[in-house]
Amino acid sequence: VIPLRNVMRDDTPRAAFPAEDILKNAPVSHDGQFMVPPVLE
Amino acid sequence: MSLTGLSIGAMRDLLARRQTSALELARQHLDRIESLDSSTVRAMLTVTREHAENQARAADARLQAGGDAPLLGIPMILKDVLTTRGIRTTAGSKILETFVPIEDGTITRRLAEAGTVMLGKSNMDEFAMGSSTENSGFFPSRNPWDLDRVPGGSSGGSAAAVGAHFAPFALGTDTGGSIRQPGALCGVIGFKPTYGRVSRYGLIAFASSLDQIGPFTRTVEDCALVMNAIAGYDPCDSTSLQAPVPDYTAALSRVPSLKGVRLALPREYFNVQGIEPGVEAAVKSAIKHLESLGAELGEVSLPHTRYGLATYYLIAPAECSANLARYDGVKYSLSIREPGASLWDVYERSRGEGFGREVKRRIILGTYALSSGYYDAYYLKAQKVRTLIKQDFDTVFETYDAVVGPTSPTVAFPLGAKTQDPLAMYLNDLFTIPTSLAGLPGISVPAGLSSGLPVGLQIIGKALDEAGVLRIAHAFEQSTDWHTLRSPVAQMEAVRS
Repeated sequence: VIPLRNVMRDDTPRAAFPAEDILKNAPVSHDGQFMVPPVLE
Repeated sequence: MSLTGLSIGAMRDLLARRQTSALELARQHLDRIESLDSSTVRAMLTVTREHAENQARAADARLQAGGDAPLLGIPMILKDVLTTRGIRTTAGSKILETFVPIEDGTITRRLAEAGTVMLGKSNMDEFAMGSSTENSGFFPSRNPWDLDRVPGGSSGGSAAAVGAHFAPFALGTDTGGSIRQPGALCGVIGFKPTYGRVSRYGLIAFASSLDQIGPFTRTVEDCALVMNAIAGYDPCDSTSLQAPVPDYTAALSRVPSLKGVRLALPREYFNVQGIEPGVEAAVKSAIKHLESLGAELGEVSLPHTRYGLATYYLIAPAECSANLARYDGVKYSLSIREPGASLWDVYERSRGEGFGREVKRRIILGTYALSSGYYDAYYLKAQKVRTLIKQDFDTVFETYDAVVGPTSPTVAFPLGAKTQDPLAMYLNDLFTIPTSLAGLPGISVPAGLSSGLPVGLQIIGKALDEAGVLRIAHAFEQSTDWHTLRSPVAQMEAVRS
C-alpha cells in the first residue's frame, strides 16, 4: 500500500544529556529522579 | 536611516558595504518591537534583547573577518513552538509557561549557525491549534492591517510581526494552514514546504504526520533565502527526507514569464459556499494575471476536497491526543500538587488548569477517534480518505505543474467573531487542509485587497518541488505591486530607546 519499507538507521550511540539537565524543568525532583506522589497505598 | 522595512537582500547589501552593522539592524528592530508591539499587534510572547545583541555582535565579528553567509546578521523571530536553549518556549500554552528547553531544535541551531539574530519568540494559538491566535494561552494577537481583526493562525504572531516590520522574516509552523492562512490575512508571504523537507527536531509536536516548519517573509526572494538555510535532511528527525536541496534563489528568474507553465484551477476552490466575493474576485484577477504572463490554465476537479476538513479533524486530533499525553505535570510542565493528592489527581489538575478549551476539545475528539471499537470507523477511515485526497493531487500533477486558488475563503475577521463556533473557525482552513493532508508544498502570496484587507493567492506544487512553487510566486510578485503595500502598523514610527 505504501511504497516504502521501514527505514532503519545505524544503531550508533550518541552522547546523552546529563541527568541534572534533564531534571532542570522537573516540577519536583529528588536524588536525580522525578518525584511523584505515592502510587501504592 | 530606517532599516526595518528592508528586504533581507537589501540588508545584506548594506552589511556587505559596511553601511550598517548587525547590531544596528538588531537594535532598530528591537526598538520597534519594544515601542510598538504591546500597543498594536501583540505579536511577541518573549523579546530576547540581550540574546539578540550578543548574536548580532558575533555576526559583526564574522562580517569583519570577511564572512558573507547569506543570512549573516539578519534579524528574525521564531514561533514559540520551536525550542530555544535557555530561552522559555511555551507553545502558547499555560502548561509550558515556565518551560526552558535544554537544547536548540535543529532549525534554531541551523539559523544560529547561518548567523541570524533571534529577536524573540512569537505568539500563537495554543499548541498551534487554531486559525486566529485567539486560542493563545496568554493573549490574542492582532492584525497589522486592522487592530480590531485577527492576524490568522496558528502562526499569527509571526505573520503579524513580519507585516508590522518587526523582522524581515519569521518562522511559523503549518499543520492544516497555520503558515499560509495568517500569511494571507496579514499580507505577507507564507510558505509551507513539503512534509519532511524541513526538520521537525525540536518542534513541539501537534500532529506529527502533518506538522511542517516554514518561513514568513515580505518577498519571494527572501523566502528562497530562508528555505536555503532551513531545508535539508536531519538524522534526528526520522521523517526528514533524504533528498537533494537545490539553491532556491537559482529558480527565480529576473524576467517574469510563465511560458509553458501549466496551472490547474480546482473547481472545488471557487464558487463555493463561504467564500467572500471580494476574495474570489481578487484571486480570479490574480489568475488572469498569471495567464497574461504566459501560463496555460485548465479547470480540474479535486473531488475529495469536501472530505478534507472531516478527515483532518480526525487525524490531527488523534495525533495530538497521543502527543500531548506527555504533559503530565511530572517531567517538565505545569504541576498542581495539593497536599495528599494522588498521582492521578496531579495529572487531572495539571492538565485541567494547564490546557485551554480548544486543546481539550481536540484531545477528547482524538482520544474518542482512537478508542477501541471506533478506531476503524473513524481513524482508519480518515487515513483511507487521506490517500484519496493525495491521489486527487497526483492525478492533476500528471498534467499540470501547480494548482492555484485562494489561500483563505475570507479576509481577516474581527476578534471574537468565530470564537463561539468552532466549526466556523475550522472552515478558515478549507483550502489549505487538503495540501497538508497530501504533504505538498504550498505558498500564499499577497494578491490584492478586499474591503482594504489583504487577500492571498495560494500556489500548490508537487512534492519536493518548492523551487517550482517559488518560481511561479516570484513571477507573479515581480509583475504586480501587491507585496509593496504596507500595513498601517508597518507605517508607524518606532521610538528609539
